[in-house]
Amino acid sequence: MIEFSASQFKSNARTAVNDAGLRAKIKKATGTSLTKRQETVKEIPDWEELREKGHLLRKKVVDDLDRYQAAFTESAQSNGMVVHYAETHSDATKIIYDIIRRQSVRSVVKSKSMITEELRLNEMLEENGVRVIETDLGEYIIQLAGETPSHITAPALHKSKEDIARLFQEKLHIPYTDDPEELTKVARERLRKEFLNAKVGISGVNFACADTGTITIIENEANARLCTVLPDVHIAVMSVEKILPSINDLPLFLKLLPRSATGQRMTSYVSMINGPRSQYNPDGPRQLHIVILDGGRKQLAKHPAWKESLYCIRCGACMNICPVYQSVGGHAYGSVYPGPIGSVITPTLFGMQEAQDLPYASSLCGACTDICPVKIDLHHHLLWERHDIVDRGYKSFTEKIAMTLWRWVMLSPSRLEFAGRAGWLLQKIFAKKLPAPGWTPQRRFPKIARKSFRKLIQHDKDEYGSS
Amino acid sequence: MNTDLLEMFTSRLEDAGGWCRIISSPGSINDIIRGKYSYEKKDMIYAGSVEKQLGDVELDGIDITTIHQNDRRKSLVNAKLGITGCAGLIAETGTAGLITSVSEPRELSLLPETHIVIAYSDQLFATLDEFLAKVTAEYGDAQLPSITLVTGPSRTADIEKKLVVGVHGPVEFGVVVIDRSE
Repeated sequence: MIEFSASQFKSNARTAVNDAGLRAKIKKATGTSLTKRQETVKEIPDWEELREKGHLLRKKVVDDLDRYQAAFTESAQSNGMVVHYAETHSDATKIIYDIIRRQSVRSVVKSKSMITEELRLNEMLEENGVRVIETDLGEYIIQLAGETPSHITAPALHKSKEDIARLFQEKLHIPYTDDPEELTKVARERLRKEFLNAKVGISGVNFACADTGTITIIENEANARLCTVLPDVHIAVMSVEKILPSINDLPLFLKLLPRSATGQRMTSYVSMINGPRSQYNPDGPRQLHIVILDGGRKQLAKHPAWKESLYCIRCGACMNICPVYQSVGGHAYGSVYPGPIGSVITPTLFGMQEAQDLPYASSLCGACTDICPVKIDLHHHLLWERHDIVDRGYKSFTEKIAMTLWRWVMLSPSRLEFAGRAGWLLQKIFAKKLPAPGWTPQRRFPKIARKSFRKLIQHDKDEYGSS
Repeated sequence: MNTDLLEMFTSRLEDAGGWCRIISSPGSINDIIRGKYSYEKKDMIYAGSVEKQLGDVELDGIDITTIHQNDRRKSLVNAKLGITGCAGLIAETGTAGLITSVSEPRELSLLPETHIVIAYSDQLFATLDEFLAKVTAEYGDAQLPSITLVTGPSRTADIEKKLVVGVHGPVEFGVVVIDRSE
């Protein structure tokens, strides 16, 4: 198991940046998604309006989490679902394990879910003797490799087909083939057997509708359908902010999400599940459990600015477009959620001190904010978190002195003028190698002009008169 | 019949990897299926409710409701083709909206290698909003059954973003639209 933690971002990023192969794989994958997204977004003339609507609807829910949770719970229960509420991550895993234990099974099938990654559910279940079979192809690949996802919608994006070919050869004992179709066929055959034998299926939830108690799951492979239709027991795991006010809000989000994620107009399958097997649903599991996780979200929802990160619908577009993500990939972040949204939510949800490097994993270019389908002001959040990190005193003494000095210089024209000259002179003496730790080893220090811009303007005015 | 919408539906379903055939009377359904696939009768399972709507036309294959409850899953796993109806087609995305019922359980559109939907031209909606509004209005305060939106065959791009069709669900997906505008 590759173990990373957000506190090692800098060293992880250095390693990743120097891995040209990795960078090429990430660039290719993110580029493909972005091109397709562009094509299908273009078809929607009122895209900007839809983003605004999406933002407002998500805000409505996050501003009133308790009420929407109560409404969804009531609707889901009247549909015959068993709703569990877990305040902490460990409460959630305990609830899930207890449901599985009552079925006395040794293995469960599972479709892709970021919340279960957040819970480290697989690890916890395996410790208790329950084998978790990941069934999304990307997740199956990284589970075989003993790794964690490097992207929230394309978990095995960091692997080449040759990497996967060798992995399948070694772990599944099949002859080497790097043909994606052949590899997919192998996975289909292996996993079909697991689906048919499974007594318990675990899934995530994309959207939960408060008015009808519908849980919606979006996917392309049909593994989530198999996980939620075939087994006797279905456990759906969601975080509390996944709720939408009404089933009538689904079309909007089904317009925003697939286009932003993979550039599809619609994913191959959207399952809108309205209950376990009953007179209304002649098929499906006998029991349907929903585990709603708070895990710090209700606290975060109280913060006037940071609550915005809870609007996220997990499309991954901000990762695809981020120049930092494109250069370092998902693992470098050392967090369940990578990329810009990961850098925003990891510090606020899991600890500012541990993740204090992540808000700096951005050039603040704002591409993430522009692409976000629910208009989260991602790059400003990163900036505000930087303020918070400074306010909490996590920065080094030297950095504090440097910033105080910088402020002192910038507040006076004469001091700035003097500093410019001093810099120019120092640069001459050090032959352009003015050392700036953390900066000059990777980049060239910009050349300091002999005359400041103000001086040049003044000079021109004196020479040619002002006009 | 709204030809523009039907055209949009067809082309967008094709973009998603599915196929669409428009026919003027149900009589040719069996020919279309035989022309595309060489499945044996025992390997084709259909929803009885769909056949009832076709009038005199008898579909090739087995009505799912005639298979004993305990044998259904096994039959569906071995079946090559599952035929269902739908509650509506959505032009904007090339999507078929399926509602679970006794004669159309979700497994019928999920386990066989190929899934074919039989629909009517007057079931066509421009957008998902319109489709869902109709479904929710129809059920009112009654409990909604589960709904599945299907847009093409099952697919993945998890290996180097290369599109592979046919992962865990159907490898082929098609829609036969019967024109009943007359």
